[in-house]
Amino acid sequence: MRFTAASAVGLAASDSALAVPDSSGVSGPLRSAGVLAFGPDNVLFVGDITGAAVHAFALRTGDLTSQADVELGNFYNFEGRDLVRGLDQKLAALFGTTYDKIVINDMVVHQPSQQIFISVERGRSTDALPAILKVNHGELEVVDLGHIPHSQVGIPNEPDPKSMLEFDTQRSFAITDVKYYNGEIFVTGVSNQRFASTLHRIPYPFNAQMATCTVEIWHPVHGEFETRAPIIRQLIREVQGEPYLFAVYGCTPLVRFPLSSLTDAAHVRGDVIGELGYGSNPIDMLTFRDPFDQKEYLVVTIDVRSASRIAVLDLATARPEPTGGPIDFGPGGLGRTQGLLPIKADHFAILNSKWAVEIHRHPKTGYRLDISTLAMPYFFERRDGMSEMNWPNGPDPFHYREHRGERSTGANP
Amino acid sequence: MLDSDTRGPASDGIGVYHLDPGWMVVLGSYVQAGGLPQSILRVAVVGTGAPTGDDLPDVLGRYQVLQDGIRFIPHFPFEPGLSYRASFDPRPLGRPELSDVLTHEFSLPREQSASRTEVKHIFPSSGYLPENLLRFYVCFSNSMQRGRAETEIALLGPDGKPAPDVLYRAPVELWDRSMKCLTILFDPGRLKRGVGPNRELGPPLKVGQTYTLAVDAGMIDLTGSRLPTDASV
Repeated sequence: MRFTAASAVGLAASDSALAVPDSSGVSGPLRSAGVLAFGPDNVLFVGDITGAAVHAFALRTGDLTSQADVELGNFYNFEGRDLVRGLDQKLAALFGTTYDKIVINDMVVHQPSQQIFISVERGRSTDALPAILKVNHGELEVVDLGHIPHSQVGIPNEPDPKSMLEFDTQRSFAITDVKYYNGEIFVTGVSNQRFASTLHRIPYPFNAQMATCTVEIWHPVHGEFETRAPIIRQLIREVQGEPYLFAVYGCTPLVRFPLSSLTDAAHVRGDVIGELGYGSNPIDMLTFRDPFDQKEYLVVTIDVRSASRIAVLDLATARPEPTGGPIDFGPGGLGRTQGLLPIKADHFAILNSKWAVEIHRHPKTGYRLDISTLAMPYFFERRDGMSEMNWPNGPDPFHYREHRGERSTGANP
Repeated sequence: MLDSDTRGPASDGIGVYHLDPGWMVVLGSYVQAGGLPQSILRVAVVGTGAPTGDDLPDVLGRYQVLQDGIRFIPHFPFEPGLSYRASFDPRPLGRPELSDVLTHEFSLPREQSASRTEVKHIFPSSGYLPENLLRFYVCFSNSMQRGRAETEIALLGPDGKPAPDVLYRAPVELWDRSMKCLTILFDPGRLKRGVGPNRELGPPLKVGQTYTLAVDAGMIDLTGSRLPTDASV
């Protein structure tokens, strides 16, 4: 056998600049990859703004890998771990681009595997290509969406007959949140034309039904009934036996709707139970159980402020802000008694009973985007600061040195 | 020594061709025995900037074993203007005579558009506008990249300086589907007469004054180019 020395590495000419997704490829049926939510039986819901749809991918056993043995940090000493370092740079390398063309839209954690999933796009224009990735023991793995059992539902994008424009734009509806609850998904978003607050209730498994209601709230900072602000995040759950939908809007009222009020074609007025502060946008909203007092708390991360912490029980009993009353720049209602948490994260989720996970810029090297764990309930990362307890002969009132060797994992948080 | 060799327009990858049939037999056995093609042929982006401390992964893609070669097709197409490095390493095949590692840097030519992207229209287009104007639409001649509206678009007051807290900071930029037209909203709280921000800060626009909506050249279009100049109306 002869090896021909003059092997030629051939360069194949490229196709057009606008990449058309191949539905048998990694993007599968997705035209874009936005908000994520898990449903029952390992179903991953993906909001697809470009495709005007919500997709459901029924992940198979082989699509998930338990992360129970991953080291999460030292819980007693408030020391987390970086699960992935340089996330945007690694994504750029995987997708053959530069870090500035990588957009990470959402992060969710699958239970019980504690595996982290993220929605990513390469490109910031009409050329954006979507993908879903998961973290497996520190490595990024792309989910092959072309081969996973899939269904989808179209999200209406109706023109506003009352809008009068000098020209004809193409309408778009930006899905801001998707959540699953008790056999349905709840989809919120904002149109580039109507800017009204619309909520869709859609049964899952998908069929032809969809209930659409528009929602209105009294917004204390603006002192008016607000139809135009979009719901950014939702949380649907029972509190003291009653199911509610809690919503957080831009600027940042926290609103409560009894689930039973959100019926088809209804125009629903929600109760504002808190104003978390003006001039900011909420990012994520979720609940956790404090490992010390065993009480449940709501956390809302906010882009230009500290995160807010509110007891879940208070969400049901809080009295609505008075309507038509004097202007209050906030914080109001539950916003007055909110705890503040030092979380500065692009994306945030709960991993298990003692740990949360965040996608954040490292405070000392701002170019590096990391996925890191964060111990609950204080969400305080001791590694980021120097303190005298780190010195061999320094004071150690909290006994950090005694607990130095301890390690948490997913199975043993 | 490596040659470039163009293939058909439908493919979008890079490969090693004209390989000896005997060589292909070795490669075929290797793959059949469970050997990974990516240990033979890999592509990485060249010079991506700040190091993470970890090695950056190779470009993700799939492989085709051809009659006379092996081809790598990236999951997402190669980007014009970026440099890539392909490396072909036959050493995992375990044959002493197959030990030369070949590397090849390549890039695809950047698309040259016929004209620079510019601001085509700003609506409303009248020079006299009502005090309670709700929004502007800024339309470009080409699709744009999202993410720069907050820094590149401002409303300048009568003094020529940016008027603070006038435009609404939307959680998601309100582009249309073609990503050519962007909706810019005035702060709804300042527009509504009698409400808090309106009382404290006044309406966004004052009767009789001249304002300018400025769109700076830092807005980036689909191809990555800035606007040729700042635009305003």
